[in-house]
Amino acid sequence: MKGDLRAIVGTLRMQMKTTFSRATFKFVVLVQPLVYATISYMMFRQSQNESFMAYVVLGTGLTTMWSSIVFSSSGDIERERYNGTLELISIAPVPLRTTIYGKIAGNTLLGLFSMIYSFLAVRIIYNVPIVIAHPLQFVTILFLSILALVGLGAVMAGCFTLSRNSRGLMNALEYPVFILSGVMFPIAVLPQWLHPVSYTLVMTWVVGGLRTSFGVPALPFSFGIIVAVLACFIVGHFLLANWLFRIIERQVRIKATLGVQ
Amino acid sequence: MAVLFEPLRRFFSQARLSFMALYGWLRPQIYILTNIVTPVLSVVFFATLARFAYGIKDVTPYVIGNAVVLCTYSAFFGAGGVLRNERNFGTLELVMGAPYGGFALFASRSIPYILDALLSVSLGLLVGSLCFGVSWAQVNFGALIVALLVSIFAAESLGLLVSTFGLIVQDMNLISNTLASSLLVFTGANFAITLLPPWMQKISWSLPTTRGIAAARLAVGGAPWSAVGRLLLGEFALGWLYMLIGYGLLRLMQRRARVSGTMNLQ
Repeated sequence: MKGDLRAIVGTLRMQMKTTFSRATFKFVVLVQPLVYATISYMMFRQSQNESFMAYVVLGTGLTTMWSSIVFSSSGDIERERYNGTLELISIAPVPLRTTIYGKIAGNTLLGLFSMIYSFLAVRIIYNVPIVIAHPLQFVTILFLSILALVGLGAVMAGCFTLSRNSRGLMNALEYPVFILSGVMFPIAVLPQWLHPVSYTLVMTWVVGGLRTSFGVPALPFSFGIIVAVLACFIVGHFLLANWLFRIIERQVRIKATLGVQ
Repeated sequence: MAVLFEPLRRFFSQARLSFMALYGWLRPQIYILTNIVTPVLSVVFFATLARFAYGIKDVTPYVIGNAVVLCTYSAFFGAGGVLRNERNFGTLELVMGAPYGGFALFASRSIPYILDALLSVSLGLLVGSLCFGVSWAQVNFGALIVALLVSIFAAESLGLLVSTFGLIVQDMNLISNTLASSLLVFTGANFAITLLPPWMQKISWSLPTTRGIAAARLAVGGAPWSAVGRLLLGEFALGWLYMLIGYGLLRLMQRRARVSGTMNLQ
């Protein structure tokens, strides 16, 4: 346990350093928030929507956080494969899942940093007040969201280890999630038949919970239900990720195609 | 006659081969996810955002704006990455040293990206129209098609200009991503350019697709040629200007990369 923890912390530190040196990540963390903040601010500024701050601030922060987690979780596996090191980390004394959890924890911390940076950018550049109506609810949802997204990152990393289409998939995971989970608008504006699909996405509940903590209810459910659903997602993601890692460990030995490009 | 047609044959055969090689390597499903699904969904995302933020039902201008701006993805990540790809494959020195190397070769490689951009923009318009009920009752089709073509030409020209930086810049992703996403802010695809500070408006008018989007919106509204002509000419001229600057820069950077010996350095 102590060894695993040390491995996770070591991987996390290494991950943060190497990830931040990459140009794409610099774009996601430093440029993308400014772009989304500018677009959403300019658009909402013209509207009569009184709660536009919740959409601009949270929308910008969450899109950035999602992109940084998705791009890193999928891109890391592809990079390891491209560099010929995926086989090496899979047979290291530290289990593959531990290394991947360390990487995802690093990505999530960077994602959190990008979210804070987005908040500050919106606050400083556009002078948008950031008023969190229910700070305790905000902290609770943020904590649960981080756990749920780490779990989801592990599931994605597992899928991308088995698949060789991670580049295409990671690009295609942005806008569908932004639309269906309503990061910049309530899902009520989507057609009714899409709502059940939205509810299957963890981001819908993350967005809904955080927006509720800002005093702008976004989902037709109470705060308690949102917390319970997020807890279910956390358990589900970690169980699924562990199952995937067991499959990976077996498939790697049978197929011997882990490093095949 | 053969002497006349031989350079043209090589120009188009180079274009076809390079594009097929790129996507043969990447696999068709990657092409569909990256070049069709993602761009089309970006139109749906921004049009839905416009409907909610502005509280309006008719989002035709935003469907058109975001569909036209799609051509810049192909320009920056396709044509804009031509030199970077050669460097990644370790073939940049060979290509630059070949008798048929240089700007003509890279211009030929941007041809498929023009067709690719046309496909993305058309699909963006089609899906956006189906999702948001865009009316085509009054459209001036001729002007719309010309607006799309000149916008794509101007965007690809800027893509080629950006591509030349691949000779001296090690990682082009930051430049390509920043430019592509900046166009969402500057071109008026999502909000009126007049909302930007005056100095930013000047940047807007010096970028491709700003005039193209304005012309396409007018064309869909049924405006005559006389109303869109100036915008179309301006966009076309801008495309040539970027092309000429790109040519000059390529020559300059080629020389610089030869002197510093950094042409193939990763």
